[in-house]
Amino acid sequence: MRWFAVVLLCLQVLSQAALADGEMAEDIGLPELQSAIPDEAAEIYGDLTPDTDGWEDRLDALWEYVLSHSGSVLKQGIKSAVAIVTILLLCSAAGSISGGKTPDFVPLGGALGIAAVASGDVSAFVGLGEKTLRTLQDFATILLPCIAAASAAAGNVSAGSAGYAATALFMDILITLCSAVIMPLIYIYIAAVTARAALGTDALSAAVSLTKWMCVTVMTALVTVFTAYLSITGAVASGSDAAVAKLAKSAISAALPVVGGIVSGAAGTVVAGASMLRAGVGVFGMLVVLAVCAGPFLTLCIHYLIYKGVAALGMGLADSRLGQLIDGIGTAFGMVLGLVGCGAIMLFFALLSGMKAVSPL
Amino acid sequence: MELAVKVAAAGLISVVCVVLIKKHSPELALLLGTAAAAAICFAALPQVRAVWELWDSFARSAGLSSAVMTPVAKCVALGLITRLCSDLCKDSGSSSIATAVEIVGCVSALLAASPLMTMLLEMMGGLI
Repeated sequence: MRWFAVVLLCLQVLSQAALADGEMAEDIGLPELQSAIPDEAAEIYGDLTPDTDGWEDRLDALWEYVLSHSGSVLKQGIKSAVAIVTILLLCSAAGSISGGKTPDFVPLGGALGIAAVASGDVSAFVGLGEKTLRTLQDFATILLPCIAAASAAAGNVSAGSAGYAATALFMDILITLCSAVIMPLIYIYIAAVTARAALGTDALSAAVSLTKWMCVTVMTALVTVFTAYLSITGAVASGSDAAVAKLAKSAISAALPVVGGIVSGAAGTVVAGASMLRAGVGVFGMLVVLAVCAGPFLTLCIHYLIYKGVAALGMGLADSRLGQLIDGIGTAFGMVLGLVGCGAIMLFFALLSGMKAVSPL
Repeated sequence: MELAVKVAAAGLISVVCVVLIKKHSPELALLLGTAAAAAICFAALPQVRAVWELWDSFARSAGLSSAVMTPVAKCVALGLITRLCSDLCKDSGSSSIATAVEIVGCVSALLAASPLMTMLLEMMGGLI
């Protein structure tokens, strides 16, 4: 009778372990995660599932997307560049006609014209950066609880929740800083660069440098503090999780002399399943983040390079003030690129941290 | 080419005449110099128009709207006209009139560029 009870108990434990994977997927919210895929990722990957299979094919699909879109983005960038070069040539021709002694208001007209041409790109790309960050934040609100739940199921209760809390907090800070501080600073930077070129005075150079420094410092500081916070809390929480799990295993083995080993073995199987789920969610999240950021990164990178190239041309072709203006607008695109990069890097770190948490059992 | 040679010849003859007359009648010399400059500019008008049409087609193919191109072109034209007038005034020794011409040219250029300034300010206001 006693042996019969032990066999029944073992069977129950093992069947629970086998069923755990399917139930766990629902418990950690995988169906919600799958339905929350942003449009950008759905367009690139089609039907994406949270598992580790076929991620190389997904990356190939992403690469194909980048290649197929780079042509149209390049075309758009070249159109802006040609319009700016036309204004540069006009100002340069005026300088040549008058023997390089044009009145100061000729570069003023040129600077305003260039700023007007670039204004379309500026408003489009700054809006694109803000929209991408919001998409990342919306997706993070569903992804992070999932990875935290998977981490908790894999035995990393503290580490999972600490990572989730830190990332949610810092993403929120980034979005708030983005709309309240960084975006206005980028606009002020563009206004200062335009005014400096139009007025031809170096008095605004300090304001230009200050706004740029502030933007870069705020973004760098946020990512650095986030990374440090995530590393420290991750290390502390992982250690405490491992200690708790070891204690629980010893307690089970000691309390149930025969069945204890079997129970802790079955628990190990459940933990291994949860770890696989966690890796799947992590890979899924990374692929989605890459897909969301691919389009904006491509657009901003190409325009950044084009504006920098035209700036180099403008320095030699016309008044150097106009070259500096174009260079400054290119730098503003670089700042938006950095902002989107901050959001993506924070999510990447959070996912990597969640995936790399060592299973304690 | 033909026009450039003609203009160069006319310029040379005008300068000789201005130098010869200047000793006896400086006022007449100034008048002759101004008339010569105006005639040279007038002779170049068809060429300027041709260059402008070429530029305009270039700007249109570059997707540059006339709302942007016109103020910039006005500023450039005002710059050239102001410089020419200012130099004429300075040659005749009237630097105060030259300064007045430059100031009016600057104000006119600011007025010509005002649609662009308004456009930029509206954009900045809308974004912030």
